[in-house]
Amino acid sequence: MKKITIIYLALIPLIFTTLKAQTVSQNIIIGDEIKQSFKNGFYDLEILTDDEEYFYALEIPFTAVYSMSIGGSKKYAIAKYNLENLQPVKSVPLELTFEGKDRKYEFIAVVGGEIYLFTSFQNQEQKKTYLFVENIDKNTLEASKSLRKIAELDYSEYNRYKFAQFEHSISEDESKIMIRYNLLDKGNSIINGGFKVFDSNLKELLKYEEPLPLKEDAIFTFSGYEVLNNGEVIILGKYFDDKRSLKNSTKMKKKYFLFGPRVSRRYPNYHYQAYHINSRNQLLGYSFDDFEHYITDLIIGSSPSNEIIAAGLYSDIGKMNVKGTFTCELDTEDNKMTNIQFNDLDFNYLTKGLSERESSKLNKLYQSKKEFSTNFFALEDLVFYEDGSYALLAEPFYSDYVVRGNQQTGFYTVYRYQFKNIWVLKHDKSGELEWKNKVIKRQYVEDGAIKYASYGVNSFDDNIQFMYNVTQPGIFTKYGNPKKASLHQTIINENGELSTKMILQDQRETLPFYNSDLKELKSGGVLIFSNKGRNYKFLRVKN
Amino acid sequence: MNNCFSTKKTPSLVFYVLCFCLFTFSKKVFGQETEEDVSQYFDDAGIQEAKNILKVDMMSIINGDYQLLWEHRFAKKVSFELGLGNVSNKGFRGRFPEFITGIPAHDISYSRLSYAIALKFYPAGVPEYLFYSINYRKRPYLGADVYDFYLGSGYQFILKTRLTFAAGIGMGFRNIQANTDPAVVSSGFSTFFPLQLSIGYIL
Repeated sequence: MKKITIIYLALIPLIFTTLKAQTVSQNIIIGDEIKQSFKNGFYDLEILTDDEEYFYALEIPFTAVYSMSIGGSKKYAIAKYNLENLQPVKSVPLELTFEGKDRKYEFIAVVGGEIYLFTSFQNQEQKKTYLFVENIDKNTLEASKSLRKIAELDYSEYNRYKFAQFEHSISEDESKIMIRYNLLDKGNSIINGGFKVFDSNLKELLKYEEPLPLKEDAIFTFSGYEVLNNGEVIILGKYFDDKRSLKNSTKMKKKYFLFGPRVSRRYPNYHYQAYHINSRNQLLGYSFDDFEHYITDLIIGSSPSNEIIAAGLYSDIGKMNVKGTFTCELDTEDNKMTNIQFNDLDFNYLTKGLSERESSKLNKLYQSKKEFSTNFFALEDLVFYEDGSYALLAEPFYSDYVVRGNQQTGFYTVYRYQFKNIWVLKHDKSGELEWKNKVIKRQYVEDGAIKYASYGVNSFDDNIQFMYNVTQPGIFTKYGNPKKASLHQTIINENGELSTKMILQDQRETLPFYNSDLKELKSGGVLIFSNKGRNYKFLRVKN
Repeated sequence: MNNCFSTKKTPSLVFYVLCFCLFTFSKKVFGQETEEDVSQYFDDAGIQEAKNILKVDMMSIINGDYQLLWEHRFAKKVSFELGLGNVSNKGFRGRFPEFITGIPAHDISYSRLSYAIALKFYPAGVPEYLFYSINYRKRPYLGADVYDFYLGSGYQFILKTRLTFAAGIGMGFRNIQANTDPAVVSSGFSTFFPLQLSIGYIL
């Protein structure tokens, strides 16, 4: 009898543990809702990294997202969660003072498995802004306070500067970190700055502080920058002919004559430019404007064997209608592009997953050789396979804005987005299109609900896994109100075969998951986060 | 045998002193970029903790208002400014009537308290660079009380040795109310564009 009692007593904690996490299917675990206390509440959460037992997250206060002017009492905090039941273990606020001086939180980065906190201090007497780094102990979750200065910006000569900006990029294998530090003027133009690359022990590998050799008669805007696994840096940007061209690229036009929404339009008034900084601190430039086709969208990635691949979409010269994919390899030894490939996408593929009405409308425009697409394209990182082949992921989206309200309530502008199907375009090592497929989805979201849209992606064993919400067609989802939205998982194997399953049917009843916040776990699988007001929870998908 | 290698020597006092120094300062010598090293980057002559600036506005003095301004930071990017001063008929002649009911103005003994209040917002953080302000002030000149309400913008710089210099411009409304009977100036509203040129000291 005693023995049975002991067994029952031993089982009680286990029962509670299992109650705290609901297993939806064999490899999907949804943690129970966690309620934030009023005192320690946060606005957003960023999953940082994980180890065997726990995962770590950054709690972002409301004041960091909105109203940076007045400040607030809530601090950034590092939290630790149990990886099995997805429940909190500990949360420690970040102490951002040093010898009584306030430091500014810049970012947290995980390099070589270690969590590093980056803070800055603006020394108003020395007229310099310094960037410091310190380690965060995974057990105590406290910053070491053993600061190390790793970058500085001298603004003594620039009295009209706006602010110092520090950004970072982590290499695919998390072994290198690039810090980009810039002094911006009121027009957000860089007036001073540079790049530094560090290894996992934060030993400086590369430093580049020369201004980029930009064309004088054109305007350069950054599209992205990244550090490769070998520590070299790639910068990608767009050249616009003049200020008017740049303005046109963000201008919204009226869709209907009088009261219709204003829609974003794309113009072929830019061209891509890439810069590569190698380990010898040499800067090489690659211009993507001298082809028989027009490159509309571009992304750069590096293969596990450090080949630098540029891939994107192209159209006819002077048009924005996407005709196919463009790929090439950047030869950083001879500063030239090799394996340049243009792969046509047939019209059936372009219209796959669209409604009959949309397809026939597009077909008419296509036949009459008019612009038929108002879509923008979001290109994700290239997904590399073990043999060096790669998949280009492109997601068309459409944006407009409408003015709502009346004279009593006042008028306000609401931006709306439609995220469409995901194009998965697999190329072999030489850039030939091997297969293409589409993940069929449609998401209608308004401003605040944009985190419900788009998708999260990761790859494992040459499979690509997508997680995404599907919202109710035609009804724009607002923040906290995903009407009849459902969470889906799609896996595409190495042969392009696709399998989709619904994980959660009606997210009105649960908390809507932010699939764009998907975090790939070191221990395998992915983790996604959702919150609504003061409640939040996690969902874990094991591979 | 008595050679130098076999003799057991007692370490000298110099050795102990050297050892003491080595252990005491080893953190500084060998610890790369430790807390001691980074302290220099935080040495900003106490500007970050300083919350108060005492200022004198030159444009105010030119206008016959001898005001001392106190700017106090109460949030990272927001401060208020209070000014107290004195307006007398010994000041700038252009701001005073020549005669008050037939008596030469400079013969009259006149001294009144003026005040100014402002809320200031610094996008880059108090007290440096661009600022925007909402200002209200009263100057009871001989002949008329002048009430100013205006929005201002300008730049404030920290010079060496905790000195500050600010220059700004504003736009707002001025309400002039005659304060003598009979009135020697005409009352009424007008728009105006004040200038600010001030020097200050960070306390």
